Amino acid sequence: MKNRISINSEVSLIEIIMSILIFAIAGAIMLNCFGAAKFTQMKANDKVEAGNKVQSIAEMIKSFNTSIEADEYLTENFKLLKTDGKEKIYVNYYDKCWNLCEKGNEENNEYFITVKTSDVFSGSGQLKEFVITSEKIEPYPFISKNKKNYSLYKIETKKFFSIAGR
Amino acid sequence: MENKNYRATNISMGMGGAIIVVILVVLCLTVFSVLSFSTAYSDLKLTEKTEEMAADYYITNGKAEEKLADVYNELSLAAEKMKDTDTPEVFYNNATVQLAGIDGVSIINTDNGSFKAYYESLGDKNQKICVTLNIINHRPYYEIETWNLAAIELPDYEQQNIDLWEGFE
Repeated sequence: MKNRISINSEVSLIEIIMSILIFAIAGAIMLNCFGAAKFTQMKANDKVEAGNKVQSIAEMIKSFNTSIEADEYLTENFKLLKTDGKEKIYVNYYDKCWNLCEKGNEENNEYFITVKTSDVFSGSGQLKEFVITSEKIEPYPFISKNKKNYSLYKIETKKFFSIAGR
Repeated sequence: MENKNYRATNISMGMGGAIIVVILVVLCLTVFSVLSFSTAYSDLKLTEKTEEMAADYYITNGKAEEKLADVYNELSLAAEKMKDTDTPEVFYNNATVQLAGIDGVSIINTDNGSFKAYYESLGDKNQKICVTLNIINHRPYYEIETWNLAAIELPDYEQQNIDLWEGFE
Protein backbone atom coordinates (compact mmCIF):
# COMPACT_ATOMS: atom_id res chain seq x y z
CA MET A 1 0.00 0.00 0.00
CA LYS A 2 1.41 3.40 -0.94
CA ASN A 3 0.99 6.64 1.00
CA ARG A 4 -0.06 9.66 -0.90
CA ILE A 5 0.72 12.87 0.86
CA SER A 6 -1.25 15.81 -0.29
CA ILE A 7 -0.48 19.18 1.18
CA ASN A 8 -3.55 21.13 1.69
CA SER A 9 -1.94 24.41 0.92
CA GLU A 10 -3.19 27.55 2.48
CA VAL A 11 -0.01 29.44 1.59
CA SER A 12 -0.72 32.69 -0.13
CA LEU A 13 1.35 34.10 -2.94
CA ILE A 14 2.51 37.00 -0.81
CA GLU A 15 3.87 34.51 1.76
CA ILE A 16 5.84 32.63 -0.89
CA ILE A 17 7.26 35.86 -2.21
CA MET A 18 8.23 36.94 1.32
CA SER A 19 9.91 33.57 1.97
CA ILE A 20 11.90 33.79 -1.23
CA LEU A 21 12.88 37.34 -0.41
CA ILE A 22 14.06 36.41 3.09
CA PHE A 23 15.94 33.40 1.75
CA ALA A 24 17.56 35.48 -0.98
CA ILE A 25 18.76 38.20 1.43
CA ALA A 26 19.96 35.74 4.07
CA GLY A 27 21.47 33.51 1.37
CA ALA A 28 23.56 36.34 -0.02
CA ILE A 29 24.95 37.09 3.45
CA MET A 30 25.54 33.40 4.20
CA LEU A 31 27.21 32.75 0.89
CA ASN A 32 29.62 35.56 1.70
CA CYS A 33 30.24 34.03 5.12
CA PHE A 34 30.82 30.54 3.65
CA GLY A 35 33.12 32.03 1.02
CA ALA A 36 35.09 33.97 3.62
CA ALA A 37 35.38 30.80 5.74
CA LYS A 38 36.64 28.76 2.79
CA PHE A 39 39.29 31.27 1.74
CA THR A 40 40.33 32.06 5.33
CA GLN A 41 41.00 28.34 5.84
CA MET A 42 42.84 28.24 2.51
CA LYS A 43 44.97 31.20 3.61
CA ALA A 44 45.76 29.50 6.93
CA ASN A 45 46.81 26.31 5.10
CA ASP A 46 48.93 28.34 2.66
CA LYS A 47 50.64 30.12 5.54
CA VAL A 48 51.58 26.77 7.11
CA GLU A 49 52.95 25.45 3.80
CA ALA A 50 54.77 28.73 3.07
CA GLY A 51 56.24 28.66 6.59
CA ASN A 52 57.60 25.16 6.05
CA LYS A 53 59.22 26.12 2.74
CA VAL A 54 60.66 29.43 4.01
CA GLN A 55 62.03 27.94 7.24
CA SER A 56 63.53 25.02 5.35
CA ILE A 57 65.44 27.48 3.11
CA ALA A 58 66.55 29.51 6.16
CA GLU A 59 67.82 26.38 7.93
CA MET A 60 69.72 25.31 4.81
CA ILE A 61 71.43 28.71 4.67
CA LYS A 62 72.20 28.54 8.40
CA SER A 63 73.89 25.16 7.97
CA PHE A 64 76.56 26.36 5.52
CA ASN A 65 80.07 27.15 6.74
CA THR A 66 81.10 29.47 3.93
CA SER A 67 79.27 32.10 1.89
CA ILE A 68 80.37 30.32 -1.30
CA GLU A 69 78.40 27.23 -0.24
CA ALA A 70 75.34 29.40 0.43
CA ASP A 71 75.68 31.13 -2.94
CA GLU A 72 76.07 27.77 -4.71
CA TYR A 73 72.94 26.43 -3.01
CA LEU A 74 70.92 29.48 -4.02
CA THR A 75 72.23 29.49 -7.61
CA GLU A 76 71.48 25.78 -8.06
CA ASN A 77 68.02 25.81 -6.49
CA PHE A 78 66.66 29.24 -7.43
CA LYS A 79 66.50 31.50 -10.45
CA LEU A 80 68.59 34.66 -10.13
CA LEU A 81 66.14 37.52 -10.66
CA LYS A 82 68.24 40.58 -10.01
CA THR A 83 71.78 41.58 -9.05
CA ASP A 84 72.29 45.07 -7.72
CA GLY A 85 75.78 45.65 -6.31
CA LYS A 86 76.02 43.61 -3.13
CA GLU A 87 72.38 42.63 -3.29
CA LYS A 88 71.00 39.57 -5.07
CA ILE A 89 67.42 38.44 -5.45
CA TYR A 90 66.58 34.81 -6.15
CA VAL A 91 63.10 33.52 -6.94
CA ASN A 92 61.22 30.23 -7.23
CA TYR A 93 57.66 29.76 -8.48
CA TYR A 94 55.22 27.14 -7.20
CA ASP A 95 51.88 25.80 -8.46
CA LYS A 96 48.67 25.56 -6.40
CA CYS A 97 49.89 22.31 -4.75
CA TRP A 98 53.21 23.96 -3.82
CA ASN A 99 55.14 21.94 -6.40
CA LEU A 100 58.06 23.71 -8.02
CA CYS A 101 57.10 25.14 -11.43
CA GLU A 102 59.45 24.54 -14.32
CA LYS A 103 60.63 27.38 -16.52
CA GLY A 104 58.21 28.05 -19.38
CA ASN A 105 55.25 26.77 -17.40
CA GLU A 106 54.26 30.15 -16.01
CA GLU A 107 50.46 29.76 -16.36
CA ASN A 108 50.41 27.38 -13.36
CA ASN A 109 52.29 29.79 -11.11
CA GLU A 110 50.32 30.46 -7.96
CA TYR A 111 52.95 31.27 -5.32
CA PHE A 112 56.54 32.46 -5.31
CA ILE A 113 59.39 32.59 -2.81
CA THR A 114 62.07 35.27 -3.04
CA VAL A 115 65.41 35.16 -1.26
CA LYS A 116 67.13 38.54 -1.00
CA THR A 117 70.78 38.39 0.05
CA SER A 118 72.90 41.41 0.86
CA ASP A 119 76.35 41.91 2.40
CA VAL A 120 76.15 43.82 5.68
CA PHE A 121 79.91 43.98 6.04
CA SER A 122 82.91 41.99 4.96
CA GLY A 123 86.13 42.42 6.90
CA SER A 124 87.68 39.54 8.75
CA GLY A 125 84.62 37.55 7.77
CA GLN A 126 81.38 38.06 5.90
CA LEU A 127 78.08 38.99 7.50
CA LYS A 128 75.17 38.46 5.14
CA GLU A 129 71.54 39.40 5.53
CA PHE A 130 68.83 37.12 4.15
CA VAL A 131 65.23 38.16 3.66
CA ILE A 132 63.04 35.24 2.63
CA THR A 133 59.49 36.07 1.55
CA SER A 134 56.66 33.91 0.31
CA GLU A 135 53.85 35.54 -1.65
CA LYS A 136 50.69 34.58 -3.51
CA ILE A 137 50.33 35.97 -7.02
CA GLU A 138 46.54 36.36 -7.05
CA PRO A 139 44.77 37.77 -3.98
CA TYR A 140 42.23 35.65 -2.11
CA PRO A 141 38.61 36.35 -3.12
CA PHE A 142 36.21 37.53 -0.38
CA ILE A 143 39.00 38.33 2.12
CA SER A 144 41.76 40.24 0.30
CA LYS A 145 41.08 43.91 -0.11
CA ASN A 146 44.20 44.88 -2.07
CA LYS A 147 44.76 43.57 -5.56
CA LYS A 148 48.53 43.30 -5.26
CA ASN A 149 50.61 40.22 -4.38
CA TYR A 150 49.60 38.85 -1.04
CA SER A 151 52.47 38.24 1.41
CA LEU A 152 52.15 34.91 3.18
CA TYR A 153 55.35 34.56 5.20
CA LYS A 154 58.43 36.64 5.77
CA ILE A 155 61.57 36.07 7.79
CA GLU A 156 64.74 38.10 8.11
CA THR A 157 67.98 36.73 9.43
CA LYS A 158 71.73 37.22 9.28
CA LYS A 159 74.56 34.77 8.97
CA PHE A 160 78.21 35.28 9.72
CA PHE A 161 80.78 33.36 7.70
CA SER A 162 84.23 33.66 9.27
CA ILE A 163 87.44 33.17 7.31
CA ALA A 164 88.68 30.46 9.68
CA GLY A 165 85.32 28.67 9.73
CA ARG A 166 83.75 27.30 12.88
CA MET B 1 -9.50 -0.85 -7.70
CA GLU B 2 -6.00 0.52 -7.70
CA ASN B 3 -7.06 3.76 -6.06
CA LYS B 4 -8.05 1.88 -2.93
CA ASN B 5 -4.37 1.06 -2.26
CA TYR B 6 -3.55 4.71 -1.59
CA ARG B 7 -4.04 6.28 1.82
CA ALA B 8 -4.49 10.00 1.62
CA THR B 9 -2.76 12.11 4.33
CA ASN B 10 -3.67 15.73 4.66
CA ILE B 11 -1.00 18.05 6.07
CA SER B 12 -1.95 21.62 6.45
CA MET B 13 0.85 24.13 6.86
CA GLY B 14 -1.41 26.93 7.74
CA MET B 15 -0.78 30.63 7.44
CA GLY B 16 2.85 31.67 8.01
CA GLY B 17 4.12 28.07 7.91
CA ALA B 18 6.32 28.66 4.88
CA ILE B 19 8.00 31.65 6.48
CA ILE B 20 8.67 29.69 9.68
CA VAL B 21 10.30 26.87 7.67
CA VAL B 22 12.38 29.38 5.71
CA ILE B 23 13.47 31.16 8.90
CA LEU B 24 14.45 27.82 10.47
CA VAL B 25 16.51 26.81 7.42
CA VAL B 26 18.17 30.24 7.29
CA LEU B 27 18.94 30.08 11.00
CA CYS B 28 20.58 26.64 10.64
CA LEU B 29 22.64 27.76 7.66
CA THR B 30 23.68 30.94 9.47
CA VAL B 31 24.88 28.92 12.47
CA PHE B 32 26.85 26.60 10.18
CA SER B 33 28.43 29.47 8.26
CA VAL B 34 29.42 31.34 11.44
CA LEU B 35 30.86 28.15 12.93
CA SER B 36 32.90 27.36 9.83
CA PHE B 37 34.18 30.94 9.63
CA SER B 38 35.15 31.04 13.32
CA THR B 39 37.06 27.72 12.96
CA ALA B 40 38.91 28.99 9.89
CA TYR B 41 39.66 32.32 11.56
CA SER B 42 41.07 30.68 14.70
CA ASP B 43 43.28 28.50 12.46
CA LEU B 44 44.53 31.64 10.72
CA LYS B 45 45.23 33.38 14.05
CA LEU B 46 47.22 30.34 15.20
CA THR B 47 49.34 30.30 12.04
CA GLU B 48 49.91 34.06 12.37
CA LYS B 49 51.12 33.58 15.97
CA THR B 50 53.44 30.78 14.81
CA GLU B 51 54.76 33.07 12.07
CA GLU B 52 55.43 35.87 14.57
CA MET B 53 57.36 33.48 16.83
CA ALA B 54 59.38 32.06 13.92
CA ALA B 55 60.14 35.54 12.55
CA ASP B 56 61.25 36.69 16.01
CA TYR B 57 63.47 33.60 16.37
CA TYR B 58 65.24 34.30 13.06
CA ILE B 59 65.72 38.00 13.94
CA THR B 60 67.19 36.96 17.33
CA ASN B 61 69.42 34.45 15.57
CA GLY B 62 70.53 37.22 13.20
CA LYS B 63 71.44 39.44 16.17
CA ALA B 64 73.48 36.59 17.67
CA GLU B 65 75.30 36.15 14.34
CA GLU B 66 75.96 39.90 14.26
CA LYS B 67 77.55 39.74 17.73
CA LEU B 68 79.56 36.71 16.64
CA ALA B 69 80.92 38.82 13.79
CA ASP B 70 81.89 41.52 16.32
CA VAL B 71 83.64 38.94 18.52
CA TYR B 72 85.54 37.54 15.54
CA ASN B 73 86.52 41.04 14.44
CA GLU B 74 87.93 41.83 17.90
CA LEU B 75 89.81 38.52 17.95
CA SER B 76 91.36 39.39 14.59
CA LEU B 77 92.42 42.80 15.94
CA ALA B 78 93.98 41.11 18.99
CA ALA B 79 95.90 38.76 16.70
CA GLU B 80 97.12 41.68 14.57
CA LYS B 81 98.62 43.36 17.65
CA MET B 82 100.75 40.27 18.40
CA LYS B 83 104.40 40.04 17.50
CA ASP B 84 106.06 36.81 16.38
CA THR B 85 107.87 36.39 19.69
CA ASP B 86 104.75 36.81 21.83
CA THR B 87 103.41 33.86 23.81
CA PRO B 88 99.77 32.58 23.56
CA GLU B 89 99.06 34.30 26.89
CA VAL B 90 99.66 37.67 25.22
CA PHE B 91 96.99 36.84 22.60
CA TYR B 92 94.52 35.77 25.29
CA ASN B 93 95.19 38.95 27.29
CA ASN B 94 94.78 41.14 24.21
CA ALA B 95 91.62 39.31 23.20
CA THR B 96 90.11 39.64 26.68
CA VAL B 97 90.71 43.40 26.62
CA GLN B 98 89.27 43.70 23.10
CA LEU B 99 86.18 41.60 23.87
CA ALA B 100 85.45 43.56 27.05
CA GLY B 101 84.63 46.47 24.73
CA ILE B 102 81.66 44.64 23.20
CA ASP B 103 78.42 45.25 25.03
CA GLY B 104 76.91 42.14 26.62
CA VAL B 105 79.89 39.80 26.13
CA SER B 106 81.26 38.22 29.31
CA ILE B 107 84.54 36.33 29.59
CA ILE B 108 84.91 33.02 31.41
CA ASN B 109 88.52 32.02 32.10
CA THR B 110 89.41 28.36 31.95
CA ASP B 111 92.22 26.40 33.68
CA ASN B 112 94.39 25.93 30.60
CA GLY B 113 94.91 29.66 30.00
CA SER B 114 92.34 29.94 27.19
CA PHE B 115 88.89 31.44 27.78
CA LYS B 116 85.25 31.34 26.82
CA ALA B 117 83.06 34.19 25.66
CA TYR B 118 79.38 34.19 26.58
CA TYR B 119 76.60 36.42 25.32
CA GLU B 120 72.85 36.47 24.94
CA SER B 121 70.71 37.76 22.11
CA LEU B 122 67.24 38.80 23.23
CA GLY B 123 64.09 38.56 21.16
CA ASP B 124 60.78 40.39 21.54
CA LYS B 125 58.63 37.30 22.12
CA ASN B 126 60.11 36.02 25.39
CA GLN B 127 62.90 34.08 23.71
CA LYS B 128 66.67 34.47 23.75
CA ILE B 129 69.66 32.72 22.25
CA CYS B 130 72.52 31.94 24.66
CA VAL B 131 75.91 31.54 22.98
CA THR B 132 79.14 30.22 24.48
CA LEU B 133 82.28 30.39 22.37
CA ASN B 134 85.51 28.56 23.07
CA ILE B 135 88.43 30.80 22.13
CA ILE B 136 91.31 28.41 21.53
CA ASN B 137 94.51 27.96 19.53
CA HIS B 138 95.76 31.52 20.32
CA ARG B 139 94.58 32.81 16.95
CA PRO B 140 91.32 34.28 15.71
CA TYR B 141 89.41 31.03 15.89
CA TYR B 142 86.35 30.08 17.87
CA GLU B 143 84.41 26.95 18.54
CA ILE B 144 80.69 27.25 19.23
CA GLU B 145 80.14 25.36 22.47
CA THR B 146 76.49 26.25 22.94
CA TRP B 147 73.92 28.00 20.74
CA ASN B 148 70.73 27.48 22.69
CA LEU B 149 67.26 28.92 22.42
CA ALA B 150 65.71 29.59 25.84
CA ALA B 151 62.82 31.51 27.35
CA ILE B 152 63.68 34.88 28.92
CA GLU B 153 61.18 34.52 31.75
CA LEU B 154 59.68 31.24 32.80
CA PRO B 155 56.16 31.37 34.23
CA ASP B 156 55.93 30.80 37.98
CA TYR B 157 53.83 27.69 38.50
CA GLU B 158 54.61 27.37 42.22
CA GLN B 159 51.71 29.52 43.39
CA GLN B 160 49.18 27.62 41.30
CA ASN B 161 50.11 24.20 42.66
CA ILE B 162 47.56 22.54 44.87
CA ASP B 163 48.79 19.68 47.05
CA LEU B 164 46.47 16.78 46.39
CA TRP B 165 48.27 14.13 48.37
CA GLU B 166 51.44 14.30 50.39
CA GLY B 167 51.73 10.60 51.08
CA PHE B 168 52.13 8.66 54.33
CA GLU B 169 55.11 9.03 56.60
